Amino acid sequence: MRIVPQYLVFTFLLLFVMGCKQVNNHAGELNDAAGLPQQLHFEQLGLKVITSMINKKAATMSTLYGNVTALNYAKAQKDSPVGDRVFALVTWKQQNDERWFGAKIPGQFQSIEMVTSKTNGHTLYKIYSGKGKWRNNALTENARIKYILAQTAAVMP
Amino acid sequence: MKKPFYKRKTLRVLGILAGCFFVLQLFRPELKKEAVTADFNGPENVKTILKKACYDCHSNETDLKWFDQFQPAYSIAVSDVKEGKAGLNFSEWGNMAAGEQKAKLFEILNQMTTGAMPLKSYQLLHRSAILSPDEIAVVKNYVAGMIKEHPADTALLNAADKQFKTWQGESKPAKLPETLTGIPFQPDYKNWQVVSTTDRTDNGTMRVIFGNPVAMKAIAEHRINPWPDGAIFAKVAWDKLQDADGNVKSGAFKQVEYMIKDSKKYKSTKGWGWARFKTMQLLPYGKNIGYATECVNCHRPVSNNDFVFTLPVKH
Repeated sequence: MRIVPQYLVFTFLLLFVMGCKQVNNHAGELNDAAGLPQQLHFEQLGLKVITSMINKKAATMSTLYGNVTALNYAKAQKDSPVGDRVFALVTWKQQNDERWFGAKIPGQFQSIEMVTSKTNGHTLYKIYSGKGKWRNNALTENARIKYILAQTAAVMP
Repeated sequence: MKKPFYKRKTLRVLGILAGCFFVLQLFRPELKKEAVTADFNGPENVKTILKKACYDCHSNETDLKWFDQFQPAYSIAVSDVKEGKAGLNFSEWGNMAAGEQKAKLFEILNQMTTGAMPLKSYQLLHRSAILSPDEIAVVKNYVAGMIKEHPADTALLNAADKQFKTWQGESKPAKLPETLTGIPFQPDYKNWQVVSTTDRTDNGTMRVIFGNPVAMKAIAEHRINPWPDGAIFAKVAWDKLQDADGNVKSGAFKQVEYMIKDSKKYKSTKGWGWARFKTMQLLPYGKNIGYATECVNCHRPVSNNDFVFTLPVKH
């Protein structure tokens, strides 16, 4: 095979340009670790965002969702006799955002806690924490209900 | 005697090219000399790095090399300098407020770490502007030192409290504000589903990114690079209110930002319409329609991801 110098130069130039560092920022990917368990069909519950929070010591971040009655309660801070209040608190471990130094985003999914506060005065609590089923937790239940019901809505004009 | 084929043709072509080259030299756009009024005032080791990698296009101290003097390189250089200085000018650094400077530094670092800046085309000939991992580490170390997380002071707490009370008794505005590019504020974002959330340690805010039904469908079907036309994101930011135990809740509403995908309508701004509405007055961001360029430039580190930073979470 004959080697043509001009082509060689072009080839090197091309390799040089291609060799400029390409940073892998997971383009086109989803945040799989943070994904909610598919079998829960959480999105289909149609809940709205009430607020979000961060726990620095535990390095977790959470988003509190609720139905319209729950949202109104968190906004007005008083009860209305419209119907059951449904709250869902979703918690993730935090991870550094590889796309922006200075930001943290949801990492591994931790749990969903559901609180249903019925008009008849009963309040139900259950937690789904990756073991594949909903469970109760008599030990922490009361504290968690109190915490979730005490949240005020984030201001959204 | 018959000459080899390439000799005859190459000579003629080269002649024409040389002619064009000389004619091109007659066009020389002006590179205006401007004084350094408020130069970057960070530590010397950081400044040295910025000087060698950024100052040619982002300061009034442009140092054109001999090969930059010839057209068409000269025109490219002049246009790069003009565009560069419009986005960031280290010679006027001191004119920015402290908060703006801090935000800019995080942006600079992220442009560097992702390889978005300095521009590849510039690095090709200006090899000395290429940043080594060690040099980026120096900048990173300086910028990381600016992250200050501490319990919220009374000013932040009061602002949140006052705003919450006003919001409870809010009345809907008669007319929705819109940006200079004609993008209206869309109050319906709060009824959309969530794409993800962020905790911004660089500017003390926490954010929720909402997606409209088109965006959520794209996530469900994993067709997100590029995003389909009609997809809209709304990113809402609040102050972080941290207590003594490190528990953080959302404080005063800061702003809501939209990215609206329409590859035809917004072709000139990478296929996205950009909008930001600040404070409870929902003041549209931008002094002129050029503000969208600012948005695009900051999103350049994720140009291979359709200019979207958010890594979507399936809910």
